[in-house]
Amino acid sequence: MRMFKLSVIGMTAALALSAVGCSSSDSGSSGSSGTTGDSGTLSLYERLGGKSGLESFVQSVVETKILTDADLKTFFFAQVATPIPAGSPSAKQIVVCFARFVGTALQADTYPGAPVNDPANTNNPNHTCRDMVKSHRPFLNIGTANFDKFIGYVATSLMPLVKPTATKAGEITQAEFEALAAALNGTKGDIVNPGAPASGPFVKP
Amino acid sequence: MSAAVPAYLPRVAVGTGTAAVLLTCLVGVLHLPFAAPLLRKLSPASLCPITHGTPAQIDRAHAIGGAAIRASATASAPSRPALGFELDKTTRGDLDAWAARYRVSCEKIGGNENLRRCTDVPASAVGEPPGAGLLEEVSFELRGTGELVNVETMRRHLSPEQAVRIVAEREETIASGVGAPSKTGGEATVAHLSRGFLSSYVAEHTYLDYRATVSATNLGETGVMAREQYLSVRP
Repeated sequence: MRMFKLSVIGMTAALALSAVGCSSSDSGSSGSSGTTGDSGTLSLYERLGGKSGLESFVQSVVETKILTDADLKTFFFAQVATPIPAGSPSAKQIVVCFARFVGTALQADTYPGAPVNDPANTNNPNHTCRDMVKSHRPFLNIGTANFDKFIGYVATSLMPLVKPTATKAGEITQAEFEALAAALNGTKGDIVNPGAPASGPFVKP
Repeated sequence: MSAAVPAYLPRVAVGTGTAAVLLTCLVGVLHLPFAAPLLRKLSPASLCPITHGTPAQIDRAHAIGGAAIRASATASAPSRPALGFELDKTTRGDLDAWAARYRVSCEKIGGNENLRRCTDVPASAVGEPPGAGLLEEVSFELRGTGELVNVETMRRHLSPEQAVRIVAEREETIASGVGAPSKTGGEATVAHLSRGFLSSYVAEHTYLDYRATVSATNLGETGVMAREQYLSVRP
């Protein structure tokens, strides 16, 4: 279970790194030091764009990658329903929770923190961010192909950001990329459900 | 004069109510985490109210993605290649005819009529050189009104050499139709893709009405994965 939690953190951190690609400024660090990297004066959290950068990134990946993928979009049908079913967070609430989760992994935020307000989610306007493992493992019936598609999106979102020397917002080093890849390596067995179909869709267990 | 209530009616009402309560409880219990494996066996994807989105939900997801993609584009695509299909024109009937012609097996994704996945597709069926082998998956999405808006492919278990050959060929074909990519990452070389887990190459061609993406990702034991996506992002 601990390994799974670490893998979720690692994967989410990897996702979050791509946030730098969506954040054009380095002013959103929320005053936190985050984790100092090996690439100059800006910490990794700062190069991620801070809270706003992380939120922009998660939103961008969900919208431009996941929601356009014929399989992975089925995991988000609740978020595009009107109204959103009771018990389901809205896309906005998911974005804020993920950003907090990554910020916490980088010691720059608090998870779960205060309930996330979204008046548009009439059935669940104040959503408390949930434990990542407990809320996902039994319910995201992830097969091998869907897992591979997902981490493929992570990798291809990160790759354009890799620079020989990453010193400003929007850049990561090869070493940071490889460290995140190493964190992801070997997690497939913890995340993938052997009984799930290789490819989608999301099948609520 | 009042009609007498049949004697059996209260018993039927109580029995029906009890059955409904028990059924509701059973469904509730099946949704608890410990019962997940059993429910997975019992519940076909097509019956799940979450998996089985309405055409409006599928269109809504596509519209959100399309709007986000258009936000980073500045011009319309000079052409919109999509492996021989015509975005915003090809219909469900056309896809059925294509599948029959190439003897390709396709299924609805999650019981959704507008999401389809075909497996073990010969390369020639999508206009690629026969030597490119089988595609593990070719998936399609149609609008609620029935026109094709998304074609995507996936191959896994490739060697770096195979992946480089495939993505280079696909990228060259796309670029010849729409021009240079608007964003790239990594390198389409054997050395780069062999570097380690998640070493990747990606090329995106983003326009106001179209996005084509070619990518390759090292998945470790699963080999290299090559993917293509041809997406209409017209409003």
